[in-house]
Amino acid sequence: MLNNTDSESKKENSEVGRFDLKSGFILWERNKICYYSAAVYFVLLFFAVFTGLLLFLFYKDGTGYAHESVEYIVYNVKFGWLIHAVHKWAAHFAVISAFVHIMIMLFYNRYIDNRRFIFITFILLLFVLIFFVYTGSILPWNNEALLIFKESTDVLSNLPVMGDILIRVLISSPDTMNLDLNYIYKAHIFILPVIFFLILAIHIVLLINHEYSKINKNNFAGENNGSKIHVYPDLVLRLFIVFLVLSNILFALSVVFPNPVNMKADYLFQSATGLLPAWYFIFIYQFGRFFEYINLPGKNISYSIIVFIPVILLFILPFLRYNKYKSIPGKLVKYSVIILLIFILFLTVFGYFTGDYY
Amino acid sequence: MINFYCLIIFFSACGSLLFDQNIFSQNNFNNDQCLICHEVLDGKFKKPADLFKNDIHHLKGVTCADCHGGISTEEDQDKAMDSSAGFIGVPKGRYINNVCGKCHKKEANAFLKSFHGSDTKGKQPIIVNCIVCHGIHNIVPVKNKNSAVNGANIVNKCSGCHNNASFMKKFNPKIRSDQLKNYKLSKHGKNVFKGDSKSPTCATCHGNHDIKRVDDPESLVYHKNIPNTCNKCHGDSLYMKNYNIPTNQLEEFKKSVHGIALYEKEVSNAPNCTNCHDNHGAVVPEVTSVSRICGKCHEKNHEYFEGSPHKNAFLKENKNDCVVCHGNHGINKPGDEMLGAGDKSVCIKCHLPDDKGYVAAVKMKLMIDSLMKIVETANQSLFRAEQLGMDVSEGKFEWNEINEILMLARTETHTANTDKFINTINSGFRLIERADKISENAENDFHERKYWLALSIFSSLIVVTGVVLKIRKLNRKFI
Repeated sequence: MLNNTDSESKKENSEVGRFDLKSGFILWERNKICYYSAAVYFVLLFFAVFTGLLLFLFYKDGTGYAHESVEYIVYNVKFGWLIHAVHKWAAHFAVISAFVHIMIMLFYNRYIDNRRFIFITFILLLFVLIFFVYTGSILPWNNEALLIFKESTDVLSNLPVMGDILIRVLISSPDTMNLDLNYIYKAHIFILPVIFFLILAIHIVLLINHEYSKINKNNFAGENNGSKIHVYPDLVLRLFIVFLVLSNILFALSVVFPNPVNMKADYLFQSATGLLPAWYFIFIYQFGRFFEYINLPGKNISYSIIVFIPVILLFILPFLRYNKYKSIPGKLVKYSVIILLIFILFLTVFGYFTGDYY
Repeated sequence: MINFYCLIIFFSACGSLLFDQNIFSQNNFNNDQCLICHEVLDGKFKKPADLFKNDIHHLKGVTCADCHGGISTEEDQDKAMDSSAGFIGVPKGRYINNVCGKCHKKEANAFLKSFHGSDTKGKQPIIVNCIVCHGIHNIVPVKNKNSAVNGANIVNKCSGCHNNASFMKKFNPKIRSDQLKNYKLSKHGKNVFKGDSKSPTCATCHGNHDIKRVDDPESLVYHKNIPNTCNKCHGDSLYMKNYNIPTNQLEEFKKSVHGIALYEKEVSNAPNCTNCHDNHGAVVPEVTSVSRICGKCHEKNHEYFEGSPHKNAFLKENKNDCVVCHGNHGINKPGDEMLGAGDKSVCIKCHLPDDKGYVAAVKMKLMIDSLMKIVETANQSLFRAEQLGMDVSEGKFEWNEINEILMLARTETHTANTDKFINTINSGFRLIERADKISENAENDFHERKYWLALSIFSSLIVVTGVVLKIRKLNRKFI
């Protein structure tokens, strides 16, 4: 008897959780902020990929050709300057929008129960994206690229135990004189995209499965019907607006703040200021500088812990529980996000007035 | 009384300590069977005994056995010269240094680190050992004029090998063999051969036992160490008292453009003392030769100066060519302020206002200043356009050429010919004009992009408004 009841409920659940596009609805009211932040992220990704494909046609890897080919793209190819600048801005804003998306998820507590793997896959996407930006900033092979390369190898080599191994795996050689741009280029155009789209596919499959199951469940329950909208035309039209607005913002930024080619990497180049962050990374830089004033015991290990604690915390947050039935209270995370945002804002404003950015 | 006896005993003890070596040497001489036997022998066996009587070692109590081994007090030849008693016969090759090094440890160690001694450690044939310079059985103190390593003798001793081209080329095919010839012509050499004990010989500059190769950074004559080596004598006012020459050359040189290049920038071919004064043939440059010496590196400046009216004017007044404006040891980095009639101008040292030269100097200064001003402006506008992502490579190419023009113009000031100078400066003006036009066009192109951007935003706004209206028509909230 007990077995029969179990099998019936299982059957019902499987119908509820079925991936069903036919319904053509999505839940709107409670999720719209998440949809919009995700839409911004995907539109930016679209621009980054599209312009990346166009740049791929003209870019040549290798320290002897890379800078010259970027110069050719910017100065000689029709609208090459626009493609080059849009690629950079789209990539950088994609990182920011991914960060904002995570903040929103945390704020609305969208990381527990069925959503925990959706949340984790998105964090993975953010990290892959950061590697995209890192490899992409070395490829133009100008003095800034050389500085980024030197600083990043310094940071990596400071990591205990795995520092050297990471350098070998990620960058091939810590020596700038023997740097092989080919390795970084292949990571940027093949290895990272493959990893990225695999994780993205998992993320989307999990997301659709979860969202549709919820709609079907609501249909059965007959609740919240008013909060649903059609995928077409309602959602598609809204996404079209996001696309148009973002494309104009990207074009405006690319025209007003273009991406200069700068001088070709010179091994004897001595920067007066060292490597300075872009304005949107001021807070990370200022946070790092704060620790320079504190003489921590076991410097390298302490720095590594400071970097890795928030990362690990993000990954384990969905699984943290008080006890078997109760997870971490949503309000605690909500207030933490607000405090974190205020902290970031403060550091950004502070860094802006000290002028340590470009 | 007891005190008096004590004093006598004390002084006699001190006296015996002071003179004990001589007492022992006398005893040794009387008991040294090696000398007794060798004195009565003939030819090559007698010679060492005869020479050794006047040797400083013998006078200080060193016996034959101390170097050759064996028992010097034994009358029986077989026993005295038995290898079991440590007899080694005549020391050869690198073993000679070991024998001397038993007492002269410091010198032997320094020698082993030197270039002459470096090969003695390995299997390489020996280059030099102690006896090559100091002799064998007739060694006298270094301060003695008869010493092989005193004053002019050491010069002859070194040149014995170093003046022999065929011998030296066995070791280094590129090495010079004219050092003695040049040294004899130098002020140092002339003084030494006159008998001046203060003037430097080979060992003064190169060191004695610890001689290093010229390209060894530890060598006293390594290009960066030469000023300090010269300064050991030339910076000592007491030592140089009788020669009547200044002693602040190194201080001035260190502050000079050449000194900064040598010490701070570490330029490998930056000049030191020997580049102007020569090394072995060191002399003070004469009035007519100064511009030729500077011209070894500053070729064009020398050429222009030779053809200028300044050449004869300086010669008439017995002035040292380049030194008149630039100085000698303390040459500052030349700048445009040396032209014209300002505080730092060198022209007004000789030229009076309304003088033809004075007017030319002011004119040159004005022109180069005005060119420099627009060069800086052009650079800034090119940089600005480049940061806007515009192609100004052609303008930068033009701008880079301006450095050559400026250098040419600055060199041409040595001709004192205003026409030639103005022609060069004018070509600079034309170049900057072209670079300016390129950056201006680039900035215009950049601003043109903004108009297209405005058009794009405007048309997008229309589309967005249409879509928003459509959504509203569907009776849905947009956000």
